[in-house]
Amino acid sequence: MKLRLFYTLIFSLFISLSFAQEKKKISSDTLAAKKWKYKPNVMIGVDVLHLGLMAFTDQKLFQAFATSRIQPRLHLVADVGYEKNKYDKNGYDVSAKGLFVKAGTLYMLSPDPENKQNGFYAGGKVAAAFYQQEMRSIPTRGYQGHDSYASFPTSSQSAYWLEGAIGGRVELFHSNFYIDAQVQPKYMIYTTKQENITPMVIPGFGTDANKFKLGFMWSVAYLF
Amino acid sequence: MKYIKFIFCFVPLLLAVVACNQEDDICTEGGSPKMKVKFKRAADGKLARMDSLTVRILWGTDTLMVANNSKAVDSVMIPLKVTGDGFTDILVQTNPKSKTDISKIKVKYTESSEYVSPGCGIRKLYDNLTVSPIEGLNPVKSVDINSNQIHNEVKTVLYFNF
Repeated sequence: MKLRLFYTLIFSLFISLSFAQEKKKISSDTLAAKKWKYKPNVMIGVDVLHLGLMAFTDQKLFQAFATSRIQPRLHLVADVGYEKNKYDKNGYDVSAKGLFVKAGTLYMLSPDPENKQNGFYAGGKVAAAFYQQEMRSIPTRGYQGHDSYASFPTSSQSAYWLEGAIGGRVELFHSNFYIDAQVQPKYMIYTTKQENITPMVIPGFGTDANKFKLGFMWSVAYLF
Repeated sequence: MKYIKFIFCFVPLLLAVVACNQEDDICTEGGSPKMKVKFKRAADGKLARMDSLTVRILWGTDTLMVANNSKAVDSVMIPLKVTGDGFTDILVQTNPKSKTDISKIKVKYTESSEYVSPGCGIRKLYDNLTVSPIEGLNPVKSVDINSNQIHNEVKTVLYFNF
């Protein structure tokens, strides 16, 4: 968890400082909005950071996104991913694997006048995960640490949450490639439960039982 | 530039919110209830306060201390096993140095499981509680059952008659 928080902070600072030195031309967004006409545009990105971390952690996370600019500052966004992870702590041994999907919008807070895809953004998404859960060990606390453990068969579960998106996007070397870094505060709304037991692993959301989580993505994207 | 300030302010706030979240290893709701036992004088059946009491339970191959030569006690909370064995053996003595004056009380019950929280995990509830004949009638002469279920730690379950 500490490593994730550290990464989140570093990427946030990195993106902030990258844009801090840019000189912005003041443009009239109202005028731009009047002239705006939607042209088909899609950007597809893959989270390369978690892809790289797969080799070193129990978390196997693949996630990708697609965005399309539908208004001068507004982007539609959809995420899809697959995660396999486990929670092995405090007497628990639980694993889960499955798909998750997210959909929402991003609003460009400070778009680059020369390339409207560049800039800081904030937005929100609704998200859902559909996954297989295996609870190999759930603890029953005994006297003086003499715990016993119960196991349950594999079951299908689902979870639904709201997610914020705060991040930045920058073009790479005047190409169609972009770097996109995003912090994702999440709040769990509803989750199904096996035997009324709070799920400790939810693909796309995180591990442990907290309703608040902070996720992040660091992606390489291509604008079609 | 104001957005940069916004992000600089907002991200640490988010980190603080996440950092302040509850830990999964803290059990605040309570686990399996312990068995509340009070004492009576066998002669007149009145509640008694023990000058000295030592209580242990047998947990597999281990003997776990519950009350170690406790002074002037009028009750004791005895934990029961959560292993699914369906019984707990309790060793009681009033003279902690004695090797012979030890009463062994076997409490039998049926266990049911109830999930409590991430920190507490599952807890056991005990029903249909019975007591087998005592091995070693000194110091405990007999046992009275006041309640045959343990779902909380409020009600007295057994009376040990000394």
